Amino acid sequence: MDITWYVKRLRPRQMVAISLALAAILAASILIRWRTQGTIVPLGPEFTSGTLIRVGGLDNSPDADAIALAAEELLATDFEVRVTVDRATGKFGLDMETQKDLSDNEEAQIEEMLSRQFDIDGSFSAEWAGPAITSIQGEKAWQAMIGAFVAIAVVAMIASKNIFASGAIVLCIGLNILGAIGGMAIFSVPLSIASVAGMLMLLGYSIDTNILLTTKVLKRFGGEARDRIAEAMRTGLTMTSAVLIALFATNILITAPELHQLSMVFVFGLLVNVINTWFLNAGMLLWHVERRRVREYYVSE
Amino acid sequence: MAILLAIALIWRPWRGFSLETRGIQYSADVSSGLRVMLKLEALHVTLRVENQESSNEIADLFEDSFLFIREIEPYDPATKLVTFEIGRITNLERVENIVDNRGEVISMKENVSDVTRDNVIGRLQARIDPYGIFGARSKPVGNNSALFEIAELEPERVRERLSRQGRFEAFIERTLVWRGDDIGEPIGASWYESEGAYVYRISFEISEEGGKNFEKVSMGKDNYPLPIYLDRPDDAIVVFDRRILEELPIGVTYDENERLFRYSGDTIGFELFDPPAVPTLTDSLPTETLQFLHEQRGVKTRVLLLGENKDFSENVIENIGTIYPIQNVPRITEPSTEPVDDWIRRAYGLASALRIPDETAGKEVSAWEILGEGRSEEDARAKAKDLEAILSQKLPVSTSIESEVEIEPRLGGEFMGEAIRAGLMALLGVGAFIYIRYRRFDVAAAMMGTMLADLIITLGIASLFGLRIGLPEIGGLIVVVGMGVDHQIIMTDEVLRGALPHAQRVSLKGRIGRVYPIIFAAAATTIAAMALLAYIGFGAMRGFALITIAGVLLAVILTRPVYARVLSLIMAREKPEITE
Repeated sequence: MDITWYVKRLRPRQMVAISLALAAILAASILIRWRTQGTIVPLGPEFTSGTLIRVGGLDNSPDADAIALAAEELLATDFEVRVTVDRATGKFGLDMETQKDLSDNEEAQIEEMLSRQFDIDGSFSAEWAGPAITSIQGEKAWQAMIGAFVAIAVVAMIASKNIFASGAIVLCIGLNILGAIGGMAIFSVPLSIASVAGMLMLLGYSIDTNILLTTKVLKRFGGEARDRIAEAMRTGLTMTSAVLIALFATNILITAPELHQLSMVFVFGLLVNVINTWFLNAGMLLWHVERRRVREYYVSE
Repeated sequence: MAILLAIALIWRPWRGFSLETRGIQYSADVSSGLRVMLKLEALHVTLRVENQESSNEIADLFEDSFLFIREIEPYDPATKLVTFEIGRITNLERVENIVDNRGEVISMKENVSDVTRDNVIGRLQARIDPYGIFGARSKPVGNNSALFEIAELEPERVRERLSRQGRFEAFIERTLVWRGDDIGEPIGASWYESEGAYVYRISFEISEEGGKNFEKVSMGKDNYPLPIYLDRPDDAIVVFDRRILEELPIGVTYDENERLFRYSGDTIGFELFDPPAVPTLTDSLPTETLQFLHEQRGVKTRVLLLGENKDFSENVIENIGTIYPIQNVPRITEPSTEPVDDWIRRAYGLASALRIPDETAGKEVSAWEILGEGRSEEDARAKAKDLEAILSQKLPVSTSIESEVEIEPRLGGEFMGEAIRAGLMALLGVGAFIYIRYRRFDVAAAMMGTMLADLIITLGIASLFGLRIGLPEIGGLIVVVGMGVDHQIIMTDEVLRGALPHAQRVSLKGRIGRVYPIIFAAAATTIAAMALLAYIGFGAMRGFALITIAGVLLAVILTRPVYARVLSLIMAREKPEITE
């Protein structure tokens, strides 16, 4: 089966339309989520406030996983539970973090649960815990992402010496990030350090296939542009498949939920990148090359 | 060579034989760390005053006494109320003494505004993780606390950097020459051995106003000492065991009448004039001392007790405790017992007392330095780095450590084991895929070898620069290795493309040469984006960006040409004609 059949058959406008249609669907998902739930994506613990419960003065190391499960069942909200050791006394303790602002009653339920189910009766305190990422840092994060886009555009422009091509690359990468965010909205992947890392990885990866495509189309001169695109696509899909296999292997063997968040964002973004690179970018470049050839034809006439 | 060097950096065999990868340091994501709960000490004081002028006057007086103030609620002419935030914990008497008849204290409570809290947390984060590569995390807790999580930083360093406000003061005799606003960020820290002592120096710039003030105050004061204090406990009274006077070295004396320690010797000396110091016996509190403590209520708010409570009788502790809260300054006994004068200097926050050179007295200065001593070279280095961090991020409020616990890694203790197994599985999976794609074992083996090389070299660089590996950095490693695979696939496809109908007859060298612009363009774009991320970003972003830059740069310079060479050899063996 020739997966590049559409490159030879479809018009550039059609190729671009498919990609833009996907972008529209993803944008709609984001908007729907925003209207119904108030946020574009769920916010992870680094971005939201919640409650920090601290228990201390325990003689034995508690079972953090079992406690987390019990707390989650009791209050129907996620808990991150970690064991601590007081440096001064050598006693064990627990730090339980949740994104929910617990009421006094709920705090009392947790305290009672710890005592009844786990025989834990050490010192107990529960306090509001703010986000780890402050609003200033959040702004800096946005500035950094925007700055990265500008840097990509500048270097792509220098590399390709073609404003149109570098614009197509930036558009493609921007839609990849939109795709990643759309995936987060659809699958409720929280915004966290892990999912931000996934988006950053996507930024790095998207560039490779786009630069490959741009170079093959604009700087190689053997055969038709469509053939060169098809050839680049075979290479590009091999590249993407290799990464997906590596991620698949990683996800099977690593149980950390943070890595699943990173992978979900990255994989979804990569799949969207396949569409954006080989439909949108390819379509735009094809249109550009064919238009230039028509112009050259008329000039030579 | 590069791989061997990287392996050496990761393994660090010179530290003794062990199979541990001692060169790789992990953030709190994957390694156990320290969790410190810090209390931010500030007060919100609400006053009723007659008018705005009185409010301004009180603000100036508060600033002189407490150094940091903010107007939380501006003066309201209708209610005649104003609320200030002051950066110290103090008692009602002291505040009332300062306000005097200018107004009335309505309420006083421990509280920190959101703005101040975020400012302090940001500064403390910068102290413990200046370059954002250690994976330190922080968050506000409750009304006036903050939680910090750091991996693998020595607890003593953490305590120093989190609990010191960095309130800077310099005196000539009893005249204040410089305060915190007068000094800029440190411009250098160094440490060295000098005549058997381990010395450290921190240089810093002085503002123009500070320089002019020095010119005025230091006139005729050649060779006078310039004591510099950091976090001088001016709101305290120092209480010490009378027996330590027997251990005072030559040149250090205690003046019973003035209640101060004096450093003189055979040159011009200086006095530790504030806080006052009063002696006690271990089993009873002398009457004069008790009387003095009572007299100072409303001026002083706490007692700094040299030693632990258990060094004194319950009677003494109780007598002091009924008047003031007690803060202990225990004597350091490890690795050796601290000399008495060092102990006293530490309690007073005396950082340095360099003498004013003849040619500098009465002139404007633009820089100065702190000179101190450590117990060993490592201690001197640690003190220098701590002071540099503290002075570069001075805090508007004081802090105290509420609790300090070790905490298990965020990703669970099994994470690294799982990650290594996953990495091997990924390597094999990609290798198998490449084999299926190209039907060539030699190409698949060459690619897998190059992937491994990329990983080892990147980890080696991370190890060299002390970059801590956490979840974002692992993401960066995946990008580096993945980009490596991408570039090799591009190279392999170009070389093996062979007999396509429209393929130009280009030599192997030419084909590989044509791939480099793609690889360089992709790498340059990635590095540019990551460089901006590293510069503007913070924490996780910066760690991710730095490791990606390092890995991609080194891979393009080192492993791509090697893979190209290996591919050439493989093809040359098969089709010698295309090497022409």
